Amino acid sequence: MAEELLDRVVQVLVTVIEAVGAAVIFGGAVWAAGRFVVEGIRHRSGAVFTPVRLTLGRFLALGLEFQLAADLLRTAVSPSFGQLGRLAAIAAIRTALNYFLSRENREEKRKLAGEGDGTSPADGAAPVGEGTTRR
Amino acid sequence: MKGLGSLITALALLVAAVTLLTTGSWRAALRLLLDLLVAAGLVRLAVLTNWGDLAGAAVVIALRQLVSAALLGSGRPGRGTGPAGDRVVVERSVARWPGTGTGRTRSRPTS
Repeated sequence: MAEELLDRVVQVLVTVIEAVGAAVIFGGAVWAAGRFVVEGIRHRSGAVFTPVRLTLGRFLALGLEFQLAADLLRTAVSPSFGQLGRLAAIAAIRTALNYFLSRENREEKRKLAGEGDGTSPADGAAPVGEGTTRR
Repeated sequence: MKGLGSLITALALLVAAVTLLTTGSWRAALRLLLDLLVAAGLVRLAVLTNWGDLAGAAVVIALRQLVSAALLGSGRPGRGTGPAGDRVVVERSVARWPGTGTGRTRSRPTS
Protein backbone atom coordinates (compact mmCIF):
# COMPACT_ATOMS: atom_id res chain seq x y z
CA MET A 1 0.00 0.00 0.00
CA ALA A 2 2.70 2.45 1.05
CA GLU A 3 4.90 1.27 -1.84
CA GLU A 4 2.12 1.88 -4.33
CA LEU A 5 1.57 5.36 -2.97
CA LEU A 6 5.29 6.13 -3.17
CA ASP A 7 5.36 4.75 -6.70
CA ARG A 8 2.52 7.03 -7.77
CA VAL A 9 4.01 10.11 -6.10
CA VAL A 10 7.36 9.48 -7.77
CA GLN A 11 5.72 8.94 -11.15
CA VAL A 12 3.84 12.22 -10.85
CA LEU A 13 7.00 14.06 -9.80
CA VAL A 14 8.98 12.51 -12.66
CA THR A 15 6.33 13.56 -15.16
CA VAL A 16 6.20 17.10 -13.80
CA ILE A 17 9.98 17.54 -13.74
CA GLU A 18 10.40 16.06 -17.20
CA ALA A 19 7.64 18.30 -18.55
CA VAL A 20 9.36 21.35 -17.04
CA GLY A 21 12.63 20.30 -18.69
CA ALA A 22 10.95 19.79 -22.06
CA ALA A 23 9.14 23.14 -21.70
CA VAL A 24 12.42 24.93 -20.99
CA ILE A 25 14.07 23.34 -24.04
CA PHE A 26 11.05 24.02 -26.25
CA GLY A 27 10.75 27.63 -25.08
CA GLY A 28 14.45 28.22 -25.62
CA ALA A 29 14.35 26.68 -29.10
CA VAL A 30 11.34 28.76 -30.18
CA TRP A 31 12.85 31.96 -28.75
CA ALA A 32 16.21 31.25 -30.41
CA ALA A 33 14.58 30.42 -33.76
CA GLY A 34 12.76 33.77 -33.67
CA ARG A 35 15.92 35.65 -32.78
CA PHE A 36 17.92 33.84 -35.49
CA VAL A 37 15.42 34.87 -38.14
CA VAL A 38 15.17 38.48 -36.91
CA GLU A 39 18.94 38.96 -36.51
CA GLY A 40 19.65 37.24 -39.82
CA ILE A 41 17.26 39.51 -41.72
CA ARG A 42 18.35 42.65 -39.84
CA HIS A 43 22.15 42.24 -39.95
CA ARG A 44 22.73 39.72 -42.77
CA SER A 45 25.88 38.49 -41.04
CA GLY A 46 26.69 35.15 -39.38
CA ALA A 47 28.61 36.83 -36.54
CA VAL A 48 25.48 38.16 -34.81
CA PHE A 49 24.23 34.65 -34.04
CA THR A 50 26.82 33.83 -31.36
CA PRO A 51 25.08 35.53 -28.37
CA VAL A 52 21.78 33.90 -29.34
CA ARG A 53 23.50 30.49 -29.68
CA LEU A 54 25.00 30.99 -26.22
CA THR A 55 21.58 31.68 -24.73
CA LEU A 56 20.10 28.68 -26.53
CA GLY A 57 22.92 26.56 -25.09
CA ARG A 58 22.00 27.77 -21.60
CA PHE A 59 18.36 26.84 -22.17
CA LEU A 60 19.37 23.37 -23.39
CA ALA A 61 21.70 22.83 -20.44
CA LEU A 62 18.99 23.92 -17.98
CA GLY A 63 16.42 21.63 -19.60
CA LEU A 64 18.90 18.76 -19.50
CA GLU A 65 19.45 19.31 -15.79
CA PHE A 66 15.73 18.91 -15.20
CA GLN A 67 15.62 15.76 -17.32
CA LEU A 68 18.59 14.31 -15.47
CA ALA A 69 16.85 15.05 -12.19
CA ALA A 70 13.80 13.16 -13.47
CA ASP A 71 16.03 10.23 -14.48
CA LEU A 72 17.56 10.12 -11.01
CA LEU A 73 14.15 10.16 -9.41
CA ARG A 74 12.95 7.41 -11.71
CA THR A 75 15.73 5.07 -10.60
CA ALA A 76 14.10 5.10 -7.16
CA VAL A 77 11.16 3.09 -8.43
CA SER A 78 12.56 1.09 -11.37
CA PRO A 79 11.89 -2.56 -10.59
CA SER A 80 13.74 -4.39 -13.40
CA PHE A 81 17.31 -4.45 -14.65
CA GLY A 82 16.06 -3.75 -18.18
CA GLN A 83 14.47 -0.48 -17.12
CA LEU A 84 17.49 0.45 -15.04
CA GLY A 85 19.76 -0.21 -18.03
CA ARG A 86 17.66 2.04 -20.25
CA LEU A 87 17.66 4.76 -17.63
CA ALA A 88 21.42 4.48 -17.33
CA ALA A 89 21.82 4.81 -21.12
CA ILE A 90 19.55 7.88 -21.25
CA ALA A 91 21.32 9.45 -18.27
CA ALA A 92 24.71 8.76 -19.91
CA ILE A 93 23.62 10.42 -23.15
CA ARG A 94 22.22 13.42 -21.31
CA THR A 95 25.29 13.77 -19.12
CA ALA A 96 27.62 13.60 -22.13
CA LEU A 97 25.52 16.12 -24.00
CA ASN A 98 25.46 18.42 -20.98
CA TYR A 99 29.25 18.25 -20.81
CA PHE A 100 29.67 19.04 -24.52
CA LEU A 101 27.14 21.89 -24.35
CA SER A 102 28.90 23.45 -21.36
CA ARG A 103 32.25 23.14 -23.12
CA GLU A 104 30.91 24.76 -26.28
CA ASN A 105 29.35 27.54 -24.22
CA ARG A 106 32.69 28.21 -22.53
CA GLU A 107 34.49 28.32 -25.89
CA GLU A 108 31.92 30.66 -27.41
CA LYS A 109 32.09 32.94 -24.36
CA ARG A 110 35.86 33.03 -24.59
CA LYS A 111 35.64 33.89 -28.28
CA LEU A 112 33.17 36.68 -27.57
CA ALA A 113 35.37 38.05 -24.79
CA GLY A 114 38.39 37.91 -27.10
CA GLU A 115 36.56 39.83 -29.80
CA GLY A 116 35.19 42.28 -27.24
CA ASP A 117 38.58 43.44 -25.92
CA GLY A 118 40.18 43.29 -29.35
CA THR A 119 42.51 40.40 -28.60
CA SER A 120 42.69 36.84 -29.75
CA PRO A 121 41.37 34.25 -27.26
CA ALA A 122 44.78 32.59 -27.12
CA ASP A 123 46.50 35.79 -26.02
CA GLY A 124 48.56 35.33 -22.91
CA ALA A 125 48.08 31.59 -22.89
CA ALA A 126 51.13 30.70 -24.93
CA PRO A 127 53.96 32.27 -26.89
CA VAL A 128 52.83 33.70 -30.19
CA GLY A 129 53.43 31.22 -32.97
CA GLU A 130 53.33 31.41 -36.72
CA GLY A 131 49.97 32.43 -38.06
CA THR A 132 48.62 33.60 -34.70
CA THR A 133 46.84 36.91 -34.91
CA ARG A 134 48.33 39.70 -32.87
CA ARG A 135 47.13 43.27 -32.87
CA MET B 1 6.09 15.68 -26.77
CA LYS B 2 6.92 14.06 -30.09
CA GLY B 3 4.82 16.80 -31.67
CA LEU B 4 6.99 19.42 -29.96
CA GLY B 5 10.10 17.71 -31.32
CA SER B 6 8.68 17.76 -34.84
CA LEU B 7 7.77 21.44 -34.43
CA ILE B 8 11.33 22.30 -33.39
CA THR B 9 12.67 20.28 -36.34
CA ALA B 10 10.46 22.27 -38.72
CA LEU B 11 11.66 25.51 -37.09
CA ALA B 12 15.28 24.32 -37.50
CA LEU B 13 14.80 23.78 -41.22
CA LEU B 14 13.08 27.15 -41.60
CA VAL B 15 15.81 28.99 -39.66
CA ALA B 16 18.56 27.27 -41.67
CA ALA B 17 16.88 28.23 -44.95
CA VAL B 18 16.40 31.86 -43.86
CA THR B 19 19.99 32.07 -42.60
CA LEU B 20 21.34 30.64 -45.84
CA LEU B 21 19.32 33.13 -47.87
CA THR B 22 20.08 36.21 -45.73
CA THR B 23 23.74 35.66 -44.82
CA GLY B 24 24.83 33.38 -47.66
CA SER B 25 26.90 31.38 -45.17
CA TRP B 26 26.21 27.64 -45.32
CA ARG B 27 28.40 27.14 -42.26
CA ALA B 28 26.29 29.47 -40.09
CA ALA B 29 23.11 27.88 -41.43
CA LEU B 30 24.39 24.37 -40.67
CA ARG B 31 25.38 25.37 -37.13
CA LEU B 32 21.97 26.82 -36.36
CA LEU B 33 20.30 23.77 -37.91
CA LEU B 34 22.36 21.42 -35.73
CA ASP B 35 21.73 23.47 -32.57
CA LEU B 36 17.99 23.38 -33.06
CA LEU B 37 18.02 19.71 -34.09
CA VAL B 38 19.74 18.90 -30.79
CA ALA B 39 16.96 20.75 -29.00
CA ALA B 40 14.42 18.64 -30.91
CA GLY B 41 16.34 15.46 -30.03
CA LEU B 42 16.36 16.39 -26.35
CA VAL B 43 12.62 16.93 -26.30
CA ARG B 44 12.12 13.57 -28.05
CA LEU B 45 14.50 11.90 -25.60
CA ALA B 46 11.94 12.58 -22.87
CA VAL B 47 9.44 10.16 -24.41
CA LEU B 48 11.64 7.34 -25.69
CA THR B 49 10.04 3.94 -25.47
CA ASN B 50 12.56 1.43 -26.82
CA TRP B 51 16.27 0.83 -27.39
CA GLY B 52 15.97 1.64 -31.11
CA ASP B 53 14.76 5.20 -30.42
CA LEU B 54 17.49 5.63 -27.83
CA ALA B 55 20.20 4.47 -30.24
CA GLY B 56 18.80 6.79 -32.92
CA ALA B 57 18.93 9.79 -30.56
CA ALA B 58 22.48 8.90 -29.50
CA VAL B 59 23.63 8.65 -33.13
CA VAL B 60 22.07 12.04 -34.00
CA ILE B 61 23.73 13.71 -31.01
CA ALA B 62 27.12 12.10 -31.73
CA LEU B 63 26.89 13.07 -35.39
CA ARG B 64 26.02 16.61 -34.40
CA GLN B 65 29.07 16.79 -32.11
CA LEU B 66 31.33 15.52 -34.89
CA VAL B 67 30.04 18.00 -37.45
CA SER B 68 30.23 20.84 -34.92
CA ALA B 69 33.81 19.94 -34.04
CA ALA B 70 34.74 19.84 -37.73
CA LEU B 71 33.12 23.24 -38.30
CA LEU B 72 34.81 24.75 -35.25
CA GLY B 73 38.17 23.36 -36.31
CA SER B 74 38.04 24.77 -39.82
CA GLY B 75 36.50 28.07 -38.74
CA ARG B 76 39.20 29.11 -36.25
CA PRO B 77 41.01 32.34 -36.87
CA GLY B 78 44.77 32.37 -37.15
CA ARG B 79 45.57 31.33 -40.70
CA GLY B 80 46.50 34.72 -41.96
CA THR B 81 43.33 36.48 -40.87
CA GLY B 82 42.27 37.95 -37.55
CA PRO B 83 38.90 37.52 -35.85
CA ALA B 84 37.43 40.38 -37.82
CA GLY B 85 38.90 39.13 -41.06
CA ASP B 86 41.71 41.73 -41.14
CA ARG B 87 44.87 40.83 -43.01
CA VAL B 88 48.06 40.30 -41.03
CA VAL B 89 51.65 39.79 -42.05
CA VAL B 90 53.95 37.34 -40.30
CA GLU B 91 57.46 38.44 -39.48
CA ARG B 92 60.23 36.39 -37.87
CA SER B 93 61.36 37.62 -34.48
CA VAL B 94 65.08 37.92 -33.76
CA ALA B 95 64.73 36.74 -30.19
CA ARG B 96 65.14 33.05 -29.47
CA TRP B 97 63.02 31.26 -26.92
CA PRO B 98 64.85 29.44 -24.17
CA GLY B 99 65.00 25.74 -24.58
CA THR B 100 63.67 25.59 -28.10
CA GLY B 101 66.71 26.71 -30.09
CA THR B 102 64.52 28.06 -32.85
CA GLY B 103 63.32 31.54 -33.66
CA ARG B 104 59.65 32.26 -33.02
CA THR B 105 57.46 34.33 -35.26
CA ARG B 106 55.24 37.27 -34.56
CA SER B 107 52.59 38.74 -36.74
CA ARG B 108 51.40 42.29 -36.98
CA PRO B 109 48.39 43.79 -38.75
CA THR B 110 48.93 45.57 -42.03
CA SER B 111 48.36 49.28 -41.99
